[in-house]
Amino acid sequence: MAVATQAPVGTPFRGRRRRRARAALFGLLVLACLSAATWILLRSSDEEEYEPGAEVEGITRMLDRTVETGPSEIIFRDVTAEAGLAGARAFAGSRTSQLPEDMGGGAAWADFDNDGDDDLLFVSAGGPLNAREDELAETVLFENLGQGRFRSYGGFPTLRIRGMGGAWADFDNDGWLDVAISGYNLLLLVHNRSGRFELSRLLASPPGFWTGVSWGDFNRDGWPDLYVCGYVRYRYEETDRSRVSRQFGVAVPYTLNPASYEAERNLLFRNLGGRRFVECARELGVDDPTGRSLSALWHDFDQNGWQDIYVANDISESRLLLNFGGRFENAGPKAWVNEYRGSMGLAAGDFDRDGDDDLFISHWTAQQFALYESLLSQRALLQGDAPGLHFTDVAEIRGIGQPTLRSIGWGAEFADLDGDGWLDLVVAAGSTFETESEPRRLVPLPSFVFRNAGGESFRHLADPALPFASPHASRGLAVSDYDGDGDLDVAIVDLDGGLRLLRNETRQGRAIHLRLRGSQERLWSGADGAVVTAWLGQTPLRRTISSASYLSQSTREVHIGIGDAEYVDRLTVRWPDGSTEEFGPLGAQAWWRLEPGGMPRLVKAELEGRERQLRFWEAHHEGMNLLKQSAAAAAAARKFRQALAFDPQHEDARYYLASALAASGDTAGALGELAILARQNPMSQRAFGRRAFLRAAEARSRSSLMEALRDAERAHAINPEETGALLLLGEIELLLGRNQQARRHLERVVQANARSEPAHFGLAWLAWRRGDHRGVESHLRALRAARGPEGKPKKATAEGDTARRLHEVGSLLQAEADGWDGAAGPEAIFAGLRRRAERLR
Amino acid sequence: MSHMGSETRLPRRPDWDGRRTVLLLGALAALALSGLAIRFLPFHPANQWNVILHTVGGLALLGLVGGYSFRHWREYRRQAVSDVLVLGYAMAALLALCLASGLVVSGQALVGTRTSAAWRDLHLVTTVGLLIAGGAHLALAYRRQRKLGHSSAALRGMAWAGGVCLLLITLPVLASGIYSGRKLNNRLPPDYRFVYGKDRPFAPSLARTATGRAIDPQSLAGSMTCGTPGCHEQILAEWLPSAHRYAAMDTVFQAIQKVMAEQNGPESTRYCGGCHDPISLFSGTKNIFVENLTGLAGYQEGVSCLVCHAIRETDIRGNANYTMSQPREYLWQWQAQGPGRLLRDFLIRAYPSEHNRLSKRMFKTPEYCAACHKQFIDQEVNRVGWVQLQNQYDNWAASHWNVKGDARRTVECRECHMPLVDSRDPAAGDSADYNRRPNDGKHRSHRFLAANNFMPEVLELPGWQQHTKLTEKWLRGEIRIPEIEEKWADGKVVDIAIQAPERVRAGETVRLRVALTSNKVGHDFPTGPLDMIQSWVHLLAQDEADRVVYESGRIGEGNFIEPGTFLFKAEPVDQHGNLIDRHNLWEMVGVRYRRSLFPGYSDFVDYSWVCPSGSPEPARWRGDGHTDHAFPAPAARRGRLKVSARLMYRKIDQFLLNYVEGGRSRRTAPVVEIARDERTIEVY
Repeated sequence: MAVATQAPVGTPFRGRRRRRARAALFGLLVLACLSAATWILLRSSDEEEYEPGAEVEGITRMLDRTVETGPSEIIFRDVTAEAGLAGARAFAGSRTSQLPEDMGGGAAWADFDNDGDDDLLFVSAGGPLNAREDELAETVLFENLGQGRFRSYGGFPTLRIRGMGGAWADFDNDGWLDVAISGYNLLLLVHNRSGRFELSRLLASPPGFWTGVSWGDFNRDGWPDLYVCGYVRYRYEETDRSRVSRQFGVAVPYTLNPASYEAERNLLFRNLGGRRFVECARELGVDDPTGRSLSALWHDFDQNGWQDIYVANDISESRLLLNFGGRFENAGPKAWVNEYRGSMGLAAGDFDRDGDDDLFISHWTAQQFALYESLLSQRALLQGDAPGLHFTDVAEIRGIGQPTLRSIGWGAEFADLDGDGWLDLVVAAGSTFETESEPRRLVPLPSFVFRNAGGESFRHLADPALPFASPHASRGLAVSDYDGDGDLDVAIVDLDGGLRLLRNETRQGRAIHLRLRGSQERLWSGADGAVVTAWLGQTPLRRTISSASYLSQSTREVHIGIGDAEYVDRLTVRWPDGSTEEFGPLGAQAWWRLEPGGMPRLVKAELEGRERQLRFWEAHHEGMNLLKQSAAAAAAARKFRQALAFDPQHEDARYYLASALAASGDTAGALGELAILARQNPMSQRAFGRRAFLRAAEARSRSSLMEALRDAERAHAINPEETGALLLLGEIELLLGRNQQARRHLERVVQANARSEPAHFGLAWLAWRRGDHRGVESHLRALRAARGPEGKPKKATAEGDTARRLHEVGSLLQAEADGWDGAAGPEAIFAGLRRRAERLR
Repeated sequence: MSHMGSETRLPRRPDWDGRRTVLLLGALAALALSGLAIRFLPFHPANQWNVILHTVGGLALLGLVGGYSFRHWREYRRQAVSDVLVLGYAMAALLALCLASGLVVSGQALVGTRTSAAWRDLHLVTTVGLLIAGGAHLALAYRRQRKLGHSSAALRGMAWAGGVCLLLITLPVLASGIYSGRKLNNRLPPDYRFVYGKDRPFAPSLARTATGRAIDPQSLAGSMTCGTPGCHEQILAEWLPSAHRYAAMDTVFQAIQKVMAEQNGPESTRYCGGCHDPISLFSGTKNIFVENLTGLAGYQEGVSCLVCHAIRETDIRGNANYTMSQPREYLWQWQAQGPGRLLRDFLIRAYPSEHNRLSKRMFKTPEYCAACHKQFIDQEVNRVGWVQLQNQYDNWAASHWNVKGDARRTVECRECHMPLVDSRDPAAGDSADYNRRPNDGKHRSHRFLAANNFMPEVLELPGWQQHTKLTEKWLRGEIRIPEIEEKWADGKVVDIAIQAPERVRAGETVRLRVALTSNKVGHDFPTGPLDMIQSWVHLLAQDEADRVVYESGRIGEGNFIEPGTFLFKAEPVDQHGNLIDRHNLWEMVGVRYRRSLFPGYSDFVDYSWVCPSGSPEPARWRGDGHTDHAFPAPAARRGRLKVSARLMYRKIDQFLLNYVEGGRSRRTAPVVEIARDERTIEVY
């Protein structure tokens, strides 16, 4: 029986056990499948191969900028053919792979015929070194005919040269711009005699590989001096033809590598009254014998009033030569701008609107372009550590570094291409490498347009529709508003072609346009080196009449985009002689002529004359109403600025602007405007009188009072008969403690105006000071009488009657005089004045 | 004609419808009607043609009427006396009188200077009488003819005569269609800016036109034609160098107007235009975008004859508060020579009603002058508030020269500034003035002598030498005006007197007072604009060797009066206390000080000196409103000091003149010594 109840071994499960076993087996199977799948998945991700350029987790690209290949808001059109410039050739014949053949040429804008528009000098590289002179491409002066058309100017000498660059300046200050042209073994000065050109012998032309030429008045004598860059001492050796050398680690033909040759010195020609030039580079330490120089830019980087020189050197250290009163100092290392890369082109401008000028340098390949931000405006912050001028290269973080890494840049210029008030950047590019397939050709590259995004960064606009995108072996670049439509156009010299004129068709913000000239008393007719600062509120928009680019020169006409603003609040010009002048508000969409000591003169404007007049009167009368009726001084000041922007010569508007500024507490602003008024009309008694009063009223020191005194004396000299200036003179002298003079002036006042309360008060004070108690009494008695009725019948009216006093007395003592109640004794009366006088002494 | 009795021999049947009768009757009727039209219809070019044709017709009819009347008389002289006969004789007499008076009036108009109102009235009365007598004569004669059965011929004749009459009286209308005078443009320019609203086109000046529209500049100009020989030649000669004439061409005015336009807006110069340049103002010349704010006519004539004489209404508010009406023109009014001028003169004299409207009783009143000789600025101009400017009227009105209701004790503007002068002018005589007669052979001078002895010379106006000489005599009080001698003052315009001790000890303080009293002036002395006019005391003390020991009020460097001078003047200021130095009234809100003499009032200035050692000492304030000046007297030396005090006058201050002339002017306005006093002080 027991055997019957025991389950046999090996007997299949049945029933419940069997179901359990099946479930367990299925679970195991699922587990195995999941494990296998997981294993496969894990194995497969581990095994994914790395591909260069693929996105890899953990790698970020913070410095990357989006390259905008979509439609650009900056629009240019190539108008070379329709402008009549298509015939210009930069190179005639085939290259022979020699360095001098590959470096030119340049373009220089200037209004040589004084007809109000820029003409264009095109300096051709000529042709191969083995070509005859008559086989070289011609250097041409293109005369601007207006309506966007040019023609070759017949009055310019025929020049078939191996040209490099050109630069205009009126070296003899006769009012006509002359031009210096550099080239291989060539340096020319072409004299402009009222539109007729002739080669001048004033400039000795030593043999050499002369590249960038630029004018600047280093000694501020009013005569522009010429700086000439020397590149290398090129010598042709047949054996060199087959040699290969390395340039920054890259293999290039020996004869194309500047490092193969010794550096050429640079030259500085001192201009002696427009009659003679003396070369003085070595004497002044600016000959830079170790630098292979390509461009030199005159620019007052340290804002000391003297034009410095920055020299762009290829395969050698660039130089920053700071000018201290006509003596130069190599400040590159100290200013942290000692460039070691292959520098080509230069541009300076205050791209971030912080009040100092930054420096752009275009470079050879693999070196990125440089954007040196000037730290001058932050000097105060750096005082402790490193006083003086410093730069820091921000190309990378501002978006210029990466896009330019593989390019080779040449001509460059800061230019506000859309009138938004921010300086954009254009750079010509072109390789120095020969194409593999056709060694006679250089590799073409697209040029660059960078749009300045609010000073924070530059956006590279790579829209293929932009003519800049068209690849060329470009070299020179210069900007000008050649067609007078208010925007800046660009001319580029292509070594593999000729001239390209790119017309700006971008929708523009508003802008003011300035043409600066010297005066008969002061020279520098072209105002080269002048620094213009337009103020939009507290924002400075700086422009300088100087450019170097690469072998090129941009327009002298100053273009300042101001975006939506209708006018700039004021304009400061630092003239080439170091003097500074304020010009007050100026209106947009207008061309103004500025001369030292003069007032802005309207050359042309977008708004028609009558419309401008209406707008002027509207603003002026609104300002008057605000100032006089509602006493809204700040709002009135805005209106007067607006009015002056239309008519900067309007005396009343300026006077009221000063009054409104003074009323709103901006005494400095008021004094500035009165200074302009005084300059504009030296016989404006109120300009000097008001200035004397404001200065004296605000004086905190004896020297301030002395300044006020000089103004009061001037006002008195203009009209000795009136008592206002006389009263001020007496009051200022009184505060200065010069009692005898004060008494003389004040007694003259009361002789004419017996009812002058402040004069009586002042005389009473002076009597008190000298212990003349009867005098005190008599003057206070007279003061009391002055408050009483006049000698006429009660109901009679007389000229000047008003219901109540509606004017300020314009006296420094009126408050004290008013404060006397007619009863208090001298000690009490004069306590305040005594404290005030003692404080000022 | 008819007969009264059967015994009487009847003449032949009257020639009612004969050509001569018809023509005569028609012409007479036309003449009578045109004469009535001249008198009773409005002034119109057709009516002026009517005057001419009436005169021509009348002269032409003389022979016809004479012949016809003689024959008519001979035919009917033997008739028994009847109503028709009596009326016929009455008619003949009236006709003769009418023709004669017409001849006299025409003769006066053609060769005289004016027509007689009596002859014109006689001509009218006889015309009316002629119409009545003639009408009755014809009516009675016609009744008689009808009884005789001749009515048809009479009716036919009268109908023909009526036709002739109708034809003749339409001739002037037709003629006026051919020429009716100049076409005037009384419209403001299309771009005219109505700064103060459409209803005040000339604001801020208070001047306005009767229509509210513009007035063609030619309409108010043409003063030269008023003075053609035989007309107001004498008055024109007086007016030519007068201030009214050069009110607009005044170089100072022009310069200030230019500044005002540049600095305050061209339209704002309308403020000045109401008084200085009304011709340009009313033609709309003072507008934005206009380069010459004074038109040619306005420039040349300023306050022309017609500007004053066409004013219809004024208000004593000042600032040109008057209403200008546009004078209606005579045909060929602006012809200065040739037949046109002959006809113009004839029309004005023969048909003077419109011309006579240019003379108004109100022109005599000071209130009329006040329209311009009272000025203020208010918020519309300076945006701040009201300021009184020059105000000759209220000065005068409050002065002792104004005794209301008593013409024999009141001296009014015209009596001083337009004194009576001997006249051969058509306008001589006046029945409306208290001391005038219609035939006194005098007119009021239109020279308007006052105090500007500078501008006539600058402009070299006709007769400027005489005018300037008279002006300077005026300033010195040397002009006699006999008709007001009894009520006016004698002597200087302003008296000056030195009050000084007779003797002074060397080393003592010498006190000297100069008193100034307004004597003859009818308003403040000096009167405005006081920002540019100057009168000052020049005090000079010299020793016996003529060495100057003290001087005040000298004209110094650059022709400026030296500081510290006692000066009648005002220093107007803008809101910020700066001097109004270019007459920039649009900025003026008050004065820093003002010093002038009210009529009859005195002012004084004290000078004194102490000479303990003969060295100068600084001036000292004495406490009574005046300053002691110290200067060296000949110490401890006996002798005499000669002291002179002179009241000087200059029309325009040097700064303004410099400004007007574009910088430092080499010249100065002429300085006139108005009064002078001298004293000798003995030093012991």
